[in-house]
Amino acid sequence: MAVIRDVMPAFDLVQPTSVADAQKLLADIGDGAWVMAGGLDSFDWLKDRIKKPEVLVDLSGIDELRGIRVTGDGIEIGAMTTLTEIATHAEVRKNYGVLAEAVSVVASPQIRNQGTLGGNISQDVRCWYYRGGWPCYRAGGNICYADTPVGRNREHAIFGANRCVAVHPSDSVPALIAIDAKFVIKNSKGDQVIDAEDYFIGPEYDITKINIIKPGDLLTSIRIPSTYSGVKFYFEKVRDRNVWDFPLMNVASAIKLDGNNISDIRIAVNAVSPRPMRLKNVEAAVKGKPATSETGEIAGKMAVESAVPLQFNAYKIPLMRNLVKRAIGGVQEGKWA
Amino acid sequence: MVIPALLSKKLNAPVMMRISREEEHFIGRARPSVEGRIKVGFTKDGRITALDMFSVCNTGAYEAAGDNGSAASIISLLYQPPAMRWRGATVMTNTLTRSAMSAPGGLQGITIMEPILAKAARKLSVDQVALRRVNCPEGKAPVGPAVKGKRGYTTSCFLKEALDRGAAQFKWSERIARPKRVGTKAYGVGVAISSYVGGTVGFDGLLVITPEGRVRFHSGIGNLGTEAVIDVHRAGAEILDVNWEQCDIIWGDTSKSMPYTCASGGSQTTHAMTRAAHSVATAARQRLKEVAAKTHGGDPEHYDVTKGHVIRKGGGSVMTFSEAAKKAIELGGIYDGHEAPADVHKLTKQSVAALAGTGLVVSSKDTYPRDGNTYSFFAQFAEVEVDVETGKYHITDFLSYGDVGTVLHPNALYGQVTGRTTLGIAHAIGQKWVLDPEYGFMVSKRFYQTKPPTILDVPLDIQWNALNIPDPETPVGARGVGEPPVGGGCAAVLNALSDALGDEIFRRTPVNADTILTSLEAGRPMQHPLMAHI
Repeated sequence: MAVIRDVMPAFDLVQPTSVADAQKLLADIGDGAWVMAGGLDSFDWLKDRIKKPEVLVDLSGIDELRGIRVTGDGIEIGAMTTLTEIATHAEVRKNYGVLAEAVSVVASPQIRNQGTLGGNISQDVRCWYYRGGWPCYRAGGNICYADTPVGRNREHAIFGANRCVAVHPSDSVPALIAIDAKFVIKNSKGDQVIDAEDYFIGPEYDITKINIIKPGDLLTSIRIPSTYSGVKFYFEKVRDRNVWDFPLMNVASAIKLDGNNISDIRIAVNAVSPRPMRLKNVEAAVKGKPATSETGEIAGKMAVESAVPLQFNAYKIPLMRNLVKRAIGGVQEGKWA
Repeated sequence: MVIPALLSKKLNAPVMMRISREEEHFIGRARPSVEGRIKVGFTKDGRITALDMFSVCNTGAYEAAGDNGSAASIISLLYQPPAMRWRGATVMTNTLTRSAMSAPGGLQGITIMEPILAKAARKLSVDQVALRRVNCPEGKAPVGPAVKGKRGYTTSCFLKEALDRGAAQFKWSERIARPKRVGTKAYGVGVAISSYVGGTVGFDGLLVITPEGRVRFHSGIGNLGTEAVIDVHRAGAEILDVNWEQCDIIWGDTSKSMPYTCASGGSQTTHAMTRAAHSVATAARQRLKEVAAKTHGGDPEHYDVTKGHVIRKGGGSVMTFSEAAKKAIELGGIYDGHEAPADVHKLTKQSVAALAGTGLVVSSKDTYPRDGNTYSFFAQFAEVEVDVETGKYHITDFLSYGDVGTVLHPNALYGQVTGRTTLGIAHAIGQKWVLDPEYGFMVSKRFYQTKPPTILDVPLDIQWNALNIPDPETPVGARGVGEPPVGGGCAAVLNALSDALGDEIFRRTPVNADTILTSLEAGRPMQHPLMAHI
């Protein structure tokens, strides 16, 4: 390979210390800015010299983007709050346990110490062709290397493929969707508050992007309303290794119960589609039904009805079916006699 | 890897070659893959009657590796088929470079053969341990094909004892009686036997007894962290009957005058260099007695060496080591390094010359007899818990029980056994590379993609033990241990998985959640062996 890898390219580094400064810089720099949170996604791109930004805007010096605040209606988490802080925060653990659980299985302890919630939400896909610098659709080219008869697509999508078959890799996002989180985006026009699932976009909308962030935008915080505080939660991540691995799939649910019947539910799955999937049809179908494995069975089958596997990822269909089942009816635990 | 050395030589300055993880995949090499078909005949009690094997080895670009033949050879040793035919082809492919990795061929052969044995035991209703016990080698067991009408054989093998003691420690009988399925969890236990080469012969030892009375062992062993660089010389200290505190180990740099030493590879060091250490210490005893005889008169055999002194048999100390060293310098010649034994290697002779006049300088070649070839053996046991709804599994317990000869250093042995067991486990549970065959491109370039195991992927406390039965064909009794546990580390996990899930789930490694789930759905192996790299 003629390209020099593993060495940082040259760029201008700016390190704002306030959100206002960051916004001004982003507005001034425009398209050439690369916003860096914890750096765990960014440094891969930069050291591989596949992305070569003109200016790197490092958010690590902005204290007002850090911390977890209890508000009148739930909590607000600064986008630069580390995953470790969220995983160990008393209020998050007590009332939003699904989020604590989700962020506690991201990657490894070292990465969670450095990685931020905003970064985990906004990270790019991990398709190895795209990350390898291949000129695929997502990289602006005109082919998908993963979706060929021999393309290596074990980790790729069973839903939402539209030329690109990469999946969204975040562990925190399904939990945030399940608890109806809102994302706060600031730009020169003011603040925008959007539902978690609306932050992400699929390839049918813009194949080179993974979320709605535009040049000049800054994700500043994540608001979690008290709507689902302390309800019944479920989170599960399936991965090859027990630490330091992206999900083969994950699922999160928040269920309000009336007796044993489901009165309200939000359920989301990730690593199955280019954007995180909220399963609205499943939610509608199980409302009013008991939170049992029988209901879960029905939900699981419904969840995978339109799935289309690639050459090497058909396992994701039974996996999603079973994870959705568990997210509603729980796990039939094994215990040795 | 020779490039920085050549540049350093030209520049007379340190040179570091820096390569990226991606470049590592082009020049770093990996283990050749072996895919095979084996037909095995059994008697009702599980004894193998005949074995027919055909295997193809993908050796990547540039050069052929010997893994294919080695796989067959280890199978011939471990399962002792009375009749065996092996046919093999090693194929160079337009893929990345490959070369010998720990237990080359041994891992692949054992990993192919063991699941067949597990399946046979189930079909024959023979206990898994019993089936291995009835087939495993014992004593001077034949290995490999006949050359000029004669087969090679092992120096010794006590694998049956390792199986028996391992099964007892693992509580095999209790574990196999447990239920196989509770809720969404399937449980399984597996056993595998494992072997690889464990030692070579013919290297040199070199020591100096200084005028200060110190015993300096010059150790040419490359320290890979196993501490063999130090440990093998305990054998020399014991022969000389000196306190370990009186000894120094000179190592780490060829400028410090090293003897001709085995390479730190092939699991040979412990065996080869304990022999050399034994040999040079025995020679030093003799030289000390000669120095005493030349100083105090009489025949060298009238003297003995004990507790750091040369003594007259039946009558008290006549010389300290310090005095003997000073006298050796006076005597010169063979005593202080101005001469070296004729049979030591030329590299040793250079080192001896460099040390001349510094004390009693002794070198010696290992010429001890050895009848057979040296192998070490393991009986390995695994237990798994599989979630049948996700395909995810955990190895809940693992035991490696070794037949590795005399135990030199229990902690170092623990490191070797559990480390190489973990390497074997890694091949079972996920370690891989992924190549796009259309573009000839390695898509896995980072550790999160090639998936070496983490500490959380192996049992919290891998159990290990060793028979500590000396090998009769080497004076210290110690055999090498590095590579022998690798194959069984992998195969015991595979066998535990097939115990939990059935024989129709996988025919390949690694076995991951996707392998298990798709095959459970279909009721047959859904990932073809040739599609291991996905």
